[in-house]
Amino acid sequence: MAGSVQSLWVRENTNESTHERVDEFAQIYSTEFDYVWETVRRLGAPTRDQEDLVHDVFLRVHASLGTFDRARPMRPWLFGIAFRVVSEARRSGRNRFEVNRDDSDFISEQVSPEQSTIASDARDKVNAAVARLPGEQRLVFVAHELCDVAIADLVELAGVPLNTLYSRLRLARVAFANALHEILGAEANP
Amino acid sequence: MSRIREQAERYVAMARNGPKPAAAAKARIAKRLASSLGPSASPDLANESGNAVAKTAGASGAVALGAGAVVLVALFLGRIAMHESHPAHRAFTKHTHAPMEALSLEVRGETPLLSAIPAPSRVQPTPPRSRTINQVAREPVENILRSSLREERELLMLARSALGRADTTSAAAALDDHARFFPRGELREEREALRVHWVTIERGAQAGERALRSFEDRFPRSVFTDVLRVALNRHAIASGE
Repeated sequence: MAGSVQSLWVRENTNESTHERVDEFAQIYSTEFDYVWETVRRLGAPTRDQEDLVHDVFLRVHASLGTFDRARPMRPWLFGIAFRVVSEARRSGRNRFEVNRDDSDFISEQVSPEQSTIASDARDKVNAAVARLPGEQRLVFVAHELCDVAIADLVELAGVPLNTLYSRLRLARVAFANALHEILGAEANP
Repeated sequence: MSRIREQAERYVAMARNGPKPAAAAKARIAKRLASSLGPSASPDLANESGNAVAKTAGASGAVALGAGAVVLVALFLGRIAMHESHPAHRAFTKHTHAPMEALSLEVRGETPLLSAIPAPSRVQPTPPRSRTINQVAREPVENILRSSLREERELLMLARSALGRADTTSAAAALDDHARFFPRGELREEREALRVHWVTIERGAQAGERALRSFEDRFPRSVFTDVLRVALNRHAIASGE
């Protein structure tokens, strides 16, 4: 009898937690979609692959939701998943020779063409400068400067002490500024 | 040095204000997630998709239908999206007029061009699955991604079989389904190779040549290019073009 009551309790609570998780996933999708989209883009994913990668990020969010510590902020966790998905996609060789073409479908109807062109040009230059950073500096720079992740939240993802991360950020800022200056200079004096 | 730093900060600020994703992209991903995770795992995602459909419809002049009607249509689409968005389901429902032939790899009257394109591996298409969230939660994410790949293969197999019968309507439907559900899927190169073949059969060798050039531009190192060219030449000779 006690066993059946216990199993009933477990079943009911499992169902409840299942429903909660479904609701939570839908809510995360609704509220954090823009953040994930932007993060994938800022991590340097090609425009044409962006939709697939965002899809894969949310698949992993769904699969990992049970292990997520709700006491911690959501965005660093999402950033970590997006970082891994984009890194894995970059490592996988498939379609790597495909020529990139921008899809106008991704351009928001809320931004004027002029604004979009300016932002797109700035983004290309920033991406080019970011690409020149060493890997460990790139992670901390993109996360902190472009994706609003606090340095303290990167300790686990980067696997290095906090002070090392601050040091990397300082070096990354200098290297980024120099790289961008070179890119702009090369454009002005071809 | 401070000028260089200020310049960097200004560019970072501009890059941060990039374009927001279009509502259509959000809706498409919601549909794909509903398809990948099963309807029970993501009922609100279907509504998300429906809401975006309503926004898009409103933006494109469907306002005349009235706000109430739009909401009803959006809710309806949201409901059916959960079931119909599954690629395998769509493939099965769309191709019911040729069920067994479409699923068979032994295609009658296979053209030289078609035989030149490697077939996707033999996969028995399965009926649409309905997984519960608990099943999905236990399932490693790699399995979910692998099942997407299987669905990609199934759709391309349908397209390939239909092309073997010179059934260009069914082939186009399967290729369009693949493009809609897996626009950047792992097998997009295979899809575009089959598309070149479809253009050749449907519109002739000259159109096929143009499609092949476009394919080459997009996939400059594709392993399909040479076999497509050889087969296209054979097709042109056979049809006297």
